[in-house]
Amino acid sequence: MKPIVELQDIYMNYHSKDGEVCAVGGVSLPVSAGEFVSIVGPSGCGKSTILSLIAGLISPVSGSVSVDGRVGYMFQRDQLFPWRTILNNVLFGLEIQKNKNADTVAYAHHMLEKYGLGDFRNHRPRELSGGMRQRAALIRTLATRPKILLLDEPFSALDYQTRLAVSDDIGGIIAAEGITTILVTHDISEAIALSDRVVVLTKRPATVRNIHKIQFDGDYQSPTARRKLPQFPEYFNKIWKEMKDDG
Amino acid sequence: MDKSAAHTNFLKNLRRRRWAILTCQALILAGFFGIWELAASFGWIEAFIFSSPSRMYRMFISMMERGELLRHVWVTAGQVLAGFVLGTLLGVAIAILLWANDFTRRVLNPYLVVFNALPKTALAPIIIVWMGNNPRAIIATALLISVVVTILNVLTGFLQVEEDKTRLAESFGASKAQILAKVVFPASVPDIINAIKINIGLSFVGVIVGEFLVAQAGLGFLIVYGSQIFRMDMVMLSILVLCSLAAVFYAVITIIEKRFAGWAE
Repeated sequence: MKPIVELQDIYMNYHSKDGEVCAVGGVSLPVSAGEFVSIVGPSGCGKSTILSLIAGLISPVSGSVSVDGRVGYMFQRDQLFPWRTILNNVLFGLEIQKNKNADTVAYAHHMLEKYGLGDFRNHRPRELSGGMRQRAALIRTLATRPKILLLDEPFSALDYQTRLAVSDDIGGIIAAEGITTILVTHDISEAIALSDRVVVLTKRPATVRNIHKIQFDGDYQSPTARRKLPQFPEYFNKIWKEMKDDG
Repeated sequence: MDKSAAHTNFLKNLRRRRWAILTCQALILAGFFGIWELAASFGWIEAFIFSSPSRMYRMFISMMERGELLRHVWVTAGQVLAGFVLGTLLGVAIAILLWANDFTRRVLNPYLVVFNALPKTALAPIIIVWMGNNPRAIIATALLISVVVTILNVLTGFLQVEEDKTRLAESFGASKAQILAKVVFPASVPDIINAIKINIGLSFVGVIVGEFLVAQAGLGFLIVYGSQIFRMDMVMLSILVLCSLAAVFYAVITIIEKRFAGWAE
């Protein structure tokens, strides 16, 4: 099957007064439909650059990016607009795409109901907890029905407790909606808990060091449940060692 | 839900404190006018030069009877309003252009900074020469004073909008105009209202200076005229009315702020 996202031999440079920085040095990565892929690597290794490339916000110096379908992007912080209600925040993407109609608005309402934010649709973001805000941010992205979801450290602004709960939450929603997802994180355990594959990058310029296929026995298990399985620490140690050797 | 005794007490203290603040504020005002009146009536100060609240009151009644005072108030209020509305609109429009064009912004930056530091009232005589001895020149002075501050404040607001907020809009495929209308502008409404607050004060400065020079009508004219004919009651009364007018303008802005920027509290 043809991959839904395919990066081929991507190179990316940044220019500044102090010189030229090679952020990505030849990355190839195919992602198939429905897959959950995490990208981990040392901080500042160009992980986020790869997401920006896939989202089409920037273009590579060389290599090709092919993306089959609309992309939704989720950021480190929820970026809900304080001047809009939760419902109007969720409708933001549809407004931008001039696709706000009875159907899409009904779908947004449905998603808010389904994921427990129905009663909060007329609230302002600051009235919600960090976890609920992140859920609202995800629904804002899903309301435009993207085929591919890009998550840029979406949990890193939350405290540890909330972070575990929210990754269960978001992981569950993504699994239920069956959307292809690429997650960038520096948290190895988060990557293992959520993904089908974990891509380990080297430090800058980023290249693919290794790709781990993550397999747990049985059906879908929540990220928290996965953390308790015996395979979990094995994956963790393997990936951790790879990253440590690199650093 | 039942409030605990401690909480009721807390609320009571909060209310009491607010009343105490209001009472002190009222006392300062009453004390100021009371002492002024006493000082004048006991001859500690020369009432002819310093005026007194009762003399100002008599002046107020006689000017109201002649319908004179309100005419001057309307002239000043209208010019201040025109000056700061035009200054704000023009300032926001220029800020939008500079936000949209990084190159122009960098080219014009030193000129804006220097122009901002220049006391614009120094230009008032030139404007009167160019535009004539009329209310338009006064409004132009007020506009000139407020426009640069507006540009700088609003532009700073625009540029401080978090980059990820714009990137979010871009990830949905937003055009530059959409980013402005749906992200950058609404995010900067508190900055724009702040600029408006500063502009009211500045617009008053511009209008009063303009009225000093043009000397046809308005509270500024009354102040100059009153001091020239040595009617200090008229001068002091005009200043007091000017204070009240500024307070009214400020109150209106506070209401607008609550309505449009309440989310930023």
